[in-house]
Amino acid sequence: MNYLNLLFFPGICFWIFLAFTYEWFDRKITARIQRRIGPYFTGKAGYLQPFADFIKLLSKEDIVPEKADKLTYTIASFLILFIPLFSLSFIPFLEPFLSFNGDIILLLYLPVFQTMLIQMIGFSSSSRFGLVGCGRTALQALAFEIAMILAGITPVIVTGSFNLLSISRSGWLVFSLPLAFVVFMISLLGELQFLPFDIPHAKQEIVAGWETELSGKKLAFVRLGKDLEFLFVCCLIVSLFLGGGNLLEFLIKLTCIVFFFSFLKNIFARFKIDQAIKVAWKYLIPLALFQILIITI
Amino acid sequence: MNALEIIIIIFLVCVFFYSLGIILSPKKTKRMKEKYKIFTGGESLPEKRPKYFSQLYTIILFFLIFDASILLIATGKGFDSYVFIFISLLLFSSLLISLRKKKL
Repeated sequence: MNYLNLLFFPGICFWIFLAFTYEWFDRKITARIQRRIGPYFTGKAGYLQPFADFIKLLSKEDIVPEKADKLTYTIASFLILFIPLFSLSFIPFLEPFLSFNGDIILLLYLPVFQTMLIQMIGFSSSSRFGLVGCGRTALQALAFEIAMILAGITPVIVTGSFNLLSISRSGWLVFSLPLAFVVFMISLLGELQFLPFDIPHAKQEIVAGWETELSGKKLAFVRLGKDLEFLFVCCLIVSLFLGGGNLLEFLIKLTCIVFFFSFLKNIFARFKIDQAIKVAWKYLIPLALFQILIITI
Repeated sequence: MNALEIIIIIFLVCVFFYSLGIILSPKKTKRMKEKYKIFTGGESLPEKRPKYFSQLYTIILFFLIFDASILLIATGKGFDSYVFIFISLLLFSSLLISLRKKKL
């Protein structure tokens, strides 16, 4: 793997292309479920809409609130794109760019770091909606992170390896760890703030939550960062539970997971914050612990 | 290719996108500023931030330190330079937050 690989294939351009493709796919599925057409005009079947949105946002004026903590605001919205790009360099599309014994722990913590950045953006924007959104993000992260890490660590226990590449080569773990798979999926819905856990940016209550004050290139960065995070999380599921495979196999599995996520987030109604926390503490964490108990006995 | 090179390249790509944004976005003129003032009606945010603001900052600070220390302990066997880079990134952000706390 050289610099050109990292820049183009299977590197940054490929990841961004995949992220935009899956955003389009997600928007189309959402539209179909809601009996709409979805993106239509830009490119064939509206395929270029996410690209167009990104360029449009980049060219918009960047308005920073007067009372905002500008340094934190800018750094956080910059890092929110950087972190998922770095995380994706561990994913074995062909060969991973980075791999070491113990990388799985780092990869399980990177989505958490992304959540921290979201909180930093909301706090520093100095907006009341952002503040409420951040409080909710923090609460949600405290609950879902534990479930996610408990479920994510089960493939490590089964395979006895802390390396993502060797875990992905050990086959379909979803059949031996069904509970962990379900818990991992649901807790990632919470981590990604998808419905029914999109409480931190509940549009009918707090405008756009932590995103409210973002505009221009910062919003473009955050949108792309969220798309890349979604891609990374789906790749992580494929590598941990579905056995990775060659590029074609990997992409087919990835598309199935993206479809599954899109479907799930469109068939539920939003929970209240206390209900979401209850789901995590009352059901997800005990289930994940139960799965660990089963495999260790 | 080592981790530092990858981090630098990804950082440069992010900077490229950011500068693209700076080049593409229009500059604010004096006339536009006046327009904005009319648009917002001159409304300003309250001078003092609510008290619980700083408490939430502290929670995040603890959270980051917890994450960083877990990373340190858990990767004890497979230490590599990029783990250190990320730990330093985590600690840097927590430092940033703690410094900001003084302003409140």
